Amino acid sequence: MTYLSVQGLRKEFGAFKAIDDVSLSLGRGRVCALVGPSGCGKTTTLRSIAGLETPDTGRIELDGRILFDGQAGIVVPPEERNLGMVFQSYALWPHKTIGENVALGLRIKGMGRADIRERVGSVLTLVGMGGMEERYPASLSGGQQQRVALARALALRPKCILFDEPLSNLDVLLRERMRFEIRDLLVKLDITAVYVTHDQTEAMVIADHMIVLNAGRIEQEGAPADIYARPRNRFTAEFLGRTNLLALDHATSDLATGSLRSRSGVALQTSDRDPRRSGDLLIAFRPESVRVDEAPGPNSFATRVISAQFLGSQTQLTLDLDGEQIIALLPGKQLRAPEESLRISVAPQDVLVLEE
Amino acid sequence: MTVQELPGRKLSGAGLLRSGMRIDLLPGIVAIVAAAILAPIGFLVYGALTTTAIGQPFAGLTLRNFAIVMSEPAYLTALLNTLYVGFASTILATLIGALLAWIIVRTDTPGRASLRVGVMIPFFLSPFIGALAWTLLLQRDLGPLNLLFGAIGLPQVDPYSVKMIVFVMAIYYAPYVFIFVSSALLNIDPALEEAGHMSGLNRRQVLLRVTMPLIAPAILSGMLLTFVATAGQFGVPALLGTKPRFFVLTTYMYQLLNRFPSQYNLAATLGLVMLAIACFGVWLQSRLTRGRSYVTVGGKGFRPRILQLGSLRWLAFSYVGAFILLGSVLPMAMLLWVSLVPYYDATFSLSRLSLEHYRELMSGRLILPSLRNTIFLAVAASTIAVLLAVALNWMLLRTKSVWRKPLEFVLIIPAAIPHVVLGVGMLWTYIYAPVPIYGTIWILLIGYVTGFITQAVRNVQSSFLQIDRSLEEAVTMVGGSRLRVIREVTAPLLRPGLVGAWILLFIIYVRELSTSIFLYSPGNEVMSVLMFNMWGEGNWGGISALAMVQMVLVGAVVYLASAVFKVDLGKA
Repeated sequence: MTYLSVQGLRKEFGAFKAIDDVSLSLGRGRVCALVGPSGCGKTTTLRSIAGLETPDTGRIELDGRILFDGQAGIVVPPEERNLGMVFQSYALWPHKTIGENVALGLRIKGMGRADIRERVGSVLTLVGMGGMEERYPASLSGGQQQRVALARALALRPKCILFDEPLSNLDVLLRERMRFEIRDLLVKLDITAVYVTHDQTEAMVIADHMIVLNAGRIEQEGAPADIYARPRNRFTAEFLGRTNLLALDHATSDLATGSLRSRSGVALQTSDRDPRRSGDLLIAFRPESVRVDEAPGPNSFATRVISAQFLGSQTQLTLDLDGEQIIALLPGKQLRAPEESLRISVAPQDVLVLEE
Repeated sequence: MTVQELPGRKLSGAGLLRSGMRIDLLPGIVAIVAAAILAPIGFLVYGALTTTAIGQPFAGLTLRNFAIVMSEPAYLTALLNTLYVGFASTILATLIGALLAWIIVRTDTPGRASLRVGVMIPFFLSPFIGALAWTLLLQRDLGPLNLLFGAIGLPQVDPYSVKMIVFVMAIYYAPYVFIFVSSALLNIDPALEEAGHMSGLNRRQVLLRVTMPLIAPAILSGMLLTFVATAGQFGVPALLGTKPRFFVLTTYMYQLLNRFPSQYNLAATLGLVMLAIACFGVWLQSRLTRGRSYVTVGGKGFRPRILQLGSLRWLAFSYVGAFILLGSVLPMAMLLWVSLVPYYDATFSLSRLSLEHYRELMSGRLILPSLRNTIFLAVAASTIAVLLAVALNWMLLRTKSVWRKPLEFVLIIPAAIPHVVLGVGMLWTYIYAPVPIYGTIWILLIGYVTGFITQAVRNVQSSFLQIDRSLEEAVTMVGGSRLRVIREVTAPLLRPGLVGAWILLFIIYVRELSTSIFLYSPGNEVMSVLMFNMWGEGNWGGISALAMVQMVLVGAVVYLASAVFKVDLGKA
């Protein structure tokens, strides 16, 4: 049952197409992540749902109520949409205390004093900021401010919460912790949310559904793990992490049997067999699916080490494979000397065929 | 984006009700402001293209005025004099101001915090009062400085000379350059200079190749604005240039209007010439600082690298001290003394002190009304200008109206137009206007607001730009209407900036002379006009007492601003 539905949204700023036919549908209590590089339209989509931006055409519906319909000329103003929003810059009002920040929406709603106090207290406790009502935003750390911003959005019990890159101003450690906290909170409170981020790992932790946007269009959507495992093209594959990509040679490859050959002459077997694909294709495998393997077998290659870096939990090797540079990520410390020869293998199920 | 400008919307019941109650005042406000600015220009053009006097019926267009202006040497001389005075005082003010800024921001000269305040005083005194004081300081055979020069065997200096016009203007406009350059110096990331050192440049090379290019736009920008201001200055050349018959365009226009019969058409023609020069300067300035000028306002405020001057720091200190002495201490002391003795005779004995001039002022028929007029106009004009500035900025920054570009364009004019020219254009406008404003205090009020609306818009804009849009959007997202957004967030966050802008305008209005001298009518005198007229009568004691009253008024407001409202006027 669709709870939030966005259909055929378009928005141009002059000649620039910010969003070009974006649709999404989301069930109640589900979390959708909009990901993509900056300028891909994810924030414009989010702000259109919020009502802070008016799309040119399209339709937005939430819980059976039309919020926007370009054709019928319906535009519900943002303050009447019953949505919560968590801003990238936190957007806490610097001249109001934490308590007042969370209470304003309730006051506007006309809630009684005692009820407000109780709601503010409980929602601050929920985000781990209990007892901080009297403090001012400037006296809080970035992480604390983000919690208050979340509390402010939760306090009104909105139908849906919109997150606009909420963690991008935090340092790495805090960001990684907050991901899980937000995820737990969303699941616990059964909140429907749209979450914009440019960090694909963040999206994978937080979202049930992921939409990859590129230049205003949807590139691919689905469960985060599925997209990671089966990116459709170069853009998605590269956006979701480093990928070794070799140009496929059509003449010498057989897509039906899965025996592939790159233009540089590397022969690979894949279990990704779909003969219908045409156009420029790529052979892809992730750096972490490369194994060091002395025994010759299918997809086993002799390579030459170009460089090796120890990254802490992993070792990154840059290898020369018949004239193509590929990256391998090995667990732990497995440093190799440059110019050393190394035999590697990639399992056929880890080899994919992508569109350019 | 606000709800306001959403096109073609159908609203739910509650929304429809509210949208019906929401009357949009913005287009009306913009129209009034644009008319107030453009009408005087229109009449100026009309006046320059006709030979009919004000109020006479239209008798055809002609280029005769331009022919007269081009052919008569007196006009050309006035034009050249204007350019000379403008260039010379701008260059001198820049040298003085930029060095002051560098010493105070970037060196370890002792007492920099107090020196900064002292350097800003001439800005609050006004060039006109400065010129008055310097005439007294250099009175022939009586002025204390001339006495001093005589005692050490130097020739006397004549206050009524081109040199003194340039000198006085340079000193009183140096604080403008100082403000521009010191804020630029504060906004340079020290890492840029450190990178210069790490690339092997020595201190002098870093100054010349890194720092100077970085602050060059600010210096240039300050120079152009100073040029526009000095070329349009009226009080100083009127005071110091009339006696040696050295006329600039502003004083020449004043002469043309005070002749019998008045030469309004020629004055209008000269006004257009001045307007063209000034518009070019302001246009150049906005080109040079496009996209840059506002970045510095909200800048991070880096901690500048302080240069250890060693024993040279006392030389630097003396330089700044000398500026404060010449720009503030001596002039103020002189005016104070002259106001406190029955008549100035170069004897300095405390036994001569009397409050005679102040008593005379209080009993005078003019002074109390002029004080009342001045305060009324300053309060009313600052308030109106700030409120208009808020509305115009709302339109410029918070809507997507198609009128934003034309509005920005129209707003260039008040920044450029010499106030003397605005005064002449307004005279014409309000004689024809179907409202009985001519000859009342209201024409002064309109003139004050119109002449400084751009300054008000810019001052308020810097506060507006510091409010993150998402703070306003966050109110919308918790269900607040546009009014609620303004009440809960925009207004409270804007308030300190508005107080600062208001006070700055108040100070400017209290000292205003250039527009007032053309727009006042007997009974509507403001203090500056009264002083100007008393100068014609040679009543130095009265002038000095009046100048002291004006200084106390400005001083009190500046004190109030910094002590009570914590406004840093140096940054406004």
